[in-house]
Amino acid sequence: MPEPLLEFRAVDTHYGDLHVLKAVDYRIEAGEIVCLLGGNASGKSTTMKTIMGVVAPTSGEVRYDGKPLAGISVAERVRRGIAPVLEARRLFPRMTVYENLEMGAFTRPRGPEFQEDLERVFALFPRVKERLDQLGGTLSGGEQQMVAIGRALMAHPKLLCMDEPSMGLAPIFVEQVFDIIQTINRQGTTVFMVEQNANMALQIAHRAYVLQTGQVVLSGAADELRRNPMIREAYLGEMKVA
Amino acid sequence: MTDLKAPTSDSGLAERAATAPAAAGLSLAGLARAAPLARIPPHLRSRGAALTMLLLAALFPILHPNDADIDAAANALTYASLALGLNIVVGMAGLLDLGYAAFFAIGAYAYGIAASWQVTPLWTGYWEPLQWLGLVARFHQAGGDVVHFQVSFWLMMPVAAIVAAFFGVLFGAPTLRLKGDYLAIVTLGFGEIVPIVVRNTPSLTNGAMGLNGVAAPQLFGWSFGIAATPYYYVGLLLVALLMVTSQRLKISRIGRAWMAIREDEIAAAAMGINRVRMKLLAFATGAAFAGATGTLFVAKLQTATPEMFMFPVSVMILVMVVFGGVGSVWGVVIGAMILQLLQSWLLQDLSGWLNALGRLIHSGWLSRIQLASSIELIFGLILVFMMLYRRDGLIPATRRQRALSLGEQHAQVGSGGIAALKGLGALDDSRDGPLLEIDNLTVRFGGLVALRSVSLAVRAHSVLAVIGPNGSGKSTLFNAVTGLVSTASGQVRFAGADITGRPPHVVLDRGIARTFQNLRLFPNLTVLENVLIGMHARLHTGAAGALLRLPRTRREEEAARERALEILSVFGNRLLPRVDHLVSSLSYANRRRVEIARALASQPKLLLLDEPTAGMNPAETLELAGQIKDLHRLGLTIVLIEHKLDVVTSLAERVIVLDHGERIAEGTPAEVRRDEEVIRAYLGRSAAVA
Repeated sequence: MPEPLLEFRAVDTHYGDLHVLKAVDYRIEAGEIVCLLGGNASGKSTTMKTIMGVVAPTSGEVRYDGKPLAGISVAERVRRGIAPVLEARRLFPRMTVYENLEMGAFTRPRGPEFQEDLERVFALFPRVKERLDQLGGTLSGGEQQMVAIGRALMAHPKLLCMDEPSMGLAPIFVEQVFDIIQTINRQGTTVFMVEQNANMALQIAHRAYVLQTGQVVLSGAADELRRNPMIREAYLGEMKVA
Repeated sequence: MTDLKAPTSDSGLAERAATAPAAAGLSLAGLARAAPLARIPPHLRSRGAALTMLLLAALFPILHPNDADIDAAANALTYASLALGLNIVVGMAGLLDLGYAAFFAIGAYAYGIAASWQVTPLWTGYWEPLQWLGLVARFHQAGGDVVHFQVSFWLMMPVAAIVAAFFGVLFGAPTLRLKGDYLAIVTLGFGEIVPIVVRNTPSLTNGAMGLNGVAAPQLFGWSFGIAATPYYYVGLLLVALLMVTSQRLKISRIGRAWMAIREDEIAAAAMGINRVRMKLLAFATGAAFAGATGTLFVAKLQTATPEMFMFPVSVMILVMVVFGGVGSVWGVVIGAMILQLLQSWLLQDLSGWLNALGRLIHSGWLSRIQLASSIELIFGLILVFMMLYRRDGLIPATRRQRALSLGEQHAQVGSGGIAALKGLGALDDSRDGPLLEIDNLTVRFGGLVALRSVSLAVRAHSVLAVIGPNGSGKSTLFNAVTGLVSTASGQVRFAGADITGRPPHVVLDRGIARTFQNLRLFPNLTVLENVLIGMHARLHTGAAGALLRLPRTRREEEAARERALEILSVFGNRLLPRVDHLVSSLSYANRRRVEIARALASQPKLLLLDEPTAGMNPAETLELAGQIKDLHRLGLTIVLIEHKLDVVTSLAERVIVLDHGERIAEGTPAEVRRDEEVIRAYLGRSAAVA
């Protein structure tokens, strides 16, 4: 059996005394969209930080593309094809949209590929092309999210790690963002995303993991999870306010 | 590590909060620990430590009667009081001042001129009342009698403080709109100007030659003269007084307001803090400390030259503050003492030892080395290493809190629920008409029209939701109502009164509180402090009250704390175990809750919530929606920006939809959901049918 693109083998992480991830296993196969669900402080963002190398596991192993990632710098991880879309977008607010996109390709030599990637981003987000000279900080939330995704794509990633891509977006943008994630995936990029909007996320994901206080309590095909009563109650929450 | 709760004395409050929110008095069980010292209540313990320090410092000249060392210690105390003053400005209010020595100079010259022969006007009858008061003397001289100023040191110390405070306000006023690096540059300018003015007004200051023959202080007819010991004791008392002042200000309403400004100016204004007044108060207080210290300094040296107050002095004081711990009262005093004594004691000795070593090993370079002359280099190195390895200084201003164990974090959550919260949403119901009315409001940012002639009305005790795509002007609407952005045209009326363009702290005072879309909490303050700052407008303690700590002030503070815990209990067990935690350590959802609690603390009539459930999962969203519903039920009027349609539907009676700054629809949630225009601009097809 070939190795998955990304694999967590019994990974533990700590912040000081606080045990965050507890013997967590993930397997993300190339070509998948995998969604990570869980409450606040369950370790979702820590998972993303561990993949990027911002947080180091205290035990266990993270493997990418058949090799261990231990000791490899964040920049090198980006160079090897892992690109993050950060929580709350984090554009460079006083740089133009074009400069933000350029920063996405920072780790790669500037060549014809740069232009190709730029065209790919423009094809996905026609709105971004219209706003190239605008400062990142002056865009609306939905536009910022498009630029943030575009910026990540400029690194030409094999694996896109997205932290809450739909947070704070209008329903119409949420729909667009999930459509685009699907398109990007069909073009060959593997997607691992953290999402609170479980309903939408499970519609586009192939598989999902459910994290609770740092442990994987449930995992499986997205369709199955959507029917799981526990998920329905905790994450799809039919809103009933007295 | 144990899961059992073994609270340190610091978490006494948290403990109390968790068990009985309203109960008064410390839980004694929480204090019983193995170490005998820990059985003493913390405030007594720190008071005991302070008294011990004071006693040791008072005994020092007796135990070690070496005039040169006492002199060095007296100088160190002078710098400690300067560091305390700068700590008010930089550490508490967060206003980076690079020209602080200017106020030191002003205080020094104020006494120097008032107690020397520098200015001697001709004698006239007008001086007689002052002569009678003993402030001036008539001096007989060949060319006609002249006036000799001989104002008492003890009188001049507070007067110099007031004079310096006046200049603090004067120099502070033009900088009010500036922040960070811009502010630093302007203060640097003032810091350069003052010594230059001093140098160029020789009639008053004797210019570059410096003031000479400044009178030594007298106490009951005994002159201090030139021995260091009396100055040492005055310095010690001054430092003790300024420390008590700093500490009392820090834990008061005033200190909290300063720290709020340091953490987030916009949020501070939105919590009802008058930024202009509070910043000027910080500048004035800091300058007053320097003014009083200048008096002591010049009295001790009996001379003053402009060179004593140049830029390096400002920098040195800043280094002391940073080294000791920005914002920490004990830290800056100890930092200043260490750095100053290092300079005058340790480096001398160390140079001597190195020289001896050099002679021993026949190294010419080592036998001549003088470390004291490279003091700037050594300071620089200390600063670099502090920033790299101990950024919070020797004694950090904020103590770290133990993280809750996972067991505690997930201990029964309970939705809280609110039976009653006194004074919430209390309105004068005799008045007819809507609580909030917005008429044809337009807001422009340069060429961009963020809001175009938007009108809406919010009935008292109702819930209105504002929805619309990102960038449609929803947050701008809140900002315009709360005075954070200026309006181009239109009117905002609250409870019948026009509040268009009123500053944020006035709007809050009238009864409109808000939360922010991207959270604007005070991250380096605790949960409790954040909520107490929300109460700023409803509390009354001023600077004088904070200093004197009269029973009234204590009662107000005690009541405020109880009220804060009561408000935090709205969120059940989510926040109560964490009241003493820094907000920066909380999860995103908990920060959202703190922001709502902080807004509630101002006892608003109208609450503006900007995406309260962003970043929460459906279960948490449901919980919060229930809590908002409870607040509404208690009579609070609420306007809510929200993207989650189920929240909107379950909470709001009416919905307004904005798109590109214009109102495109209004109605009940059901009506709006069916509106074609809304579906096109905002909902999209699938959300509309869902």
